[in-house]
Amino acid sequence: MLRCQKIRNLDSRFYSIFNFRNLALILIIFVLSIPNLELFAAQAPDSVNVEQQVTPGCGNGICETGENSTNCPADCPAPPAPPPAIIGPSGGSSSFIYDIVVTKITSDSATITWKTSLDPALCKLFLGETQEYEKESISEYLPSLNHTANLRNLSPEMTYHFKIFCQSQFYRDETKDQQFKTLKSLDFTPPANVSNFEAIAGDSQITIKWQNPPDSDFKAVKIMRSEKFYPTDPWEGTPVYNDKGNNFTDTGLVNGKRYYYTAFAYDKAGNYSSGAIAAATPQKPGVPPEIPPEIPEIPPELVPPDIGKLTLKDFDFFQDGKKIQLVEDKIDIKTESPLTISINYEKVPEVLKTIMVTLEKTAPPEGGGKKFFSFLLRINSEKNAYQAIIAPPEAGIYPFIVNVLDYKNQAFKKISGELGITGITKLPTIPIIPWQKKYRLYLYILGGLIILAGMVYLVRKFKSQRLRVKATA
Amino acid sequence: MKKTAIAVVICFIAVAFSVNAYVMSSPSYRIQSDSLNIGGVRESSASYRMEDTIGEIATDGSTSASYKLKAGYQQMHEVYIGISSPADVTMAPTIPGISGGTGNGQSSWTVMTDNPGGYSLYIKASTPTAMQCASGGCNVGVDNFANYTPAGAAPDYNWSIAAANSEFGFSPEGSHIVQKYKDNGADTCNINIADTADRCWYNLSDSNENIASSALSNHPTGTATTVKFKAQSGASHMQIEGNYQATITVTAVSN
Repeated sequence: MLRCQKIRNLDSRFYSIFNFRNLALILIIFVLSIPNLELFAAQAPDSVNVEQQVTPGCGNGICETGENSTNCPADCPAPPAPPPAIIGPSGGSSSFIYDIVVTKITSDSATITWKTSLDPALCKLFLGETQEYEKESISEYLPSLNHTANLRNLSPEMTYHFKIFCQSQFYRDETKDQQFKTLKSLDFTPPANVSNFEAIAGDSQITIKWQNPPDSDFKAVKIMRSEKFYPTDPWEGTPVYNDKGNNFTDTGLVNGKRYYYTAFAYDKAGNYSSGAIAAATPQKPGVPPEIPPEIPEIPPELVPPDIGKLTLKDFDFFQDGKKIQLVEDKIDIKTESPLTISINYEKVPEVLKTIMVTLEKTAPPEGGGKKFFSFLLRINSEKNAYQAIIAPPEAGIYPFIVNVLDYKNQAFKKISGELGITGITKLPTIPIIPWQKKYRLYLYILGGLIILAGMVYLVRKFKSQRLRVKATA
Repeated sequence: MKKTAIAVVICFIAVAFSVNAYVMSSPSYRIQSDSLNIGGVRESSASYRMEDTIGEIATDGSTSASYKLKAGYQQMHEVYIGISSPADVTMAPTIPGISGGTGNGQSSWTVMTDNPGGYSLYIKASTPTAMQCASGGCNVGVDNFANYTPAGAAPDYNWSIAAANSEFGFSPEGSHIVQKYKDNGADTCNINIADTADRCWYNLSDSNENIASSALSNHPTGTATTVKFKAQSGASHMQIEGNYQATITVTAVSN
């Protein structure tokens, strides 16, 4: 517009051509020209190659699989030349034992192989965490040129020292101190699920609250959202949260639409929990909250026989590595340790999609009705069971339901049970004593009065002495 | 109809050739220079592009001992932006494939522009997984270092990967880096307080990631932005031996 006015001032011939229709056309052209602005942005690109070389492991001081004295002399010293002459039984030779290789190193085991030259020998390997070789000694009973010692029950990520002593008919030799280090222990155990996972509907938003699991290697919680059903793995649905807090508000939602959330706790090794689930429907203020839809049940005649015959006895419950016995559909556990709920993979057919455990909690004294907290059972890393690990709530009796769902999220089977949790009883709260009934307060006041009286007495005595001195003078 | 066409042509020229100036601005745009003229057009072929303007008064170049004058719309229409071209990066030390280890490297790009609106600096890799096997025993197209996985949306203050993984990431440093890569000097990134060395690690991808930005010209000194790279193979991860390579493209764009 400004430009057009300038033009009009400069040349009146152009004024007549700027009526409303033309101005509209000009506006359209201006808007259409906006995307072309990018053509005017100047760019200056540059590329570099970043290179990283990976070696087979040479240079770490360990003669590993695939390394030898040719491709990695730093870790695998060349075998010494055979002795030039026979050495007497009492003599020593540094060239008798050679090609010492440590292989198959795991977190708790390793294999050491070595060779002896010229004639078969009997050897003894000394092992320890120090050069005292205090752990064990392994002796051979058959003379040989090739020797192997399989080490077991080692500690993860530990440096071990060893030396080898060999003796044949004509030779005797002992190596210097040798070392190797076991690997870190591999962690395939997922953390427990988050506790008290709940979704609270608001206006175009849902607030999600939970408590993180107590696992020492817990890293964060990843929450996935779906509009169809609960995401069953940490990569299904839309990620909405990935951190280690304990609440989150999902905003920009559509009122009246139901949103399903699954929280996957994960540890530093990247193991994900089976998932805690919750759903809610955001509503405008004043609209009554939506009643959660019931999971539709399949008519009994359509339930596959394998699932129809499932009972609570088909599920296993573990705590502290011990199996918890089921007594009349009730299990008794402690509150201090995580509870693993598991069902053998072969007990449920392929049509199965989801197994869900719902724990019912009694309402707190301040009200709010019963609360339900649900968890998914997910296939474990060994692919032999569906499992969920949960942190038991405080001591009490908790009814629970196991829902076995098909691929359409219809319930094949509902199994009820009861969870009895015992734990450390909380000490009764110390009643609050009103301040006027606290005897210590009165003691302090009494003490203060005595001190005050003492000070007054001393001041008076001091004054009277001074007066007496003055009178004497 | 003829008048309409004339009006359209005039306004199109006036608008299209004056939007890149800075004689007026809004919160979103700056107009760098404008011109009052009677004609001009942009033409292009497969190899060239040309713009001309006609009808301006007193357009020419003139110089004195101290000054140089470029008069006329097209002569004004110049923005210079340049970026340095550092050498390829060789990460060090080499990583033992069995027992694992960490390789580090860095490169520095200096961007210089006389654009009054400043510049933005972007980084990306040539492939979705940046660090790929290139030669030397590992399987090309199969073996790689996965892209770094920060714990949340913001970069990780400390570099950390699982023992069973191998990952490759980067951390930019410099006076113009964006808030996402700044930190609080203690444990959190995406806080505009400090630029602590070797902190705030993030992953590369084949999409441009904005790492530095300035709203002002920095001619003639330029500003360096250093990008640190880190590759790590965890203690319980077996990384196949070979030469791994990431092709990183850094682009400076005038604002």
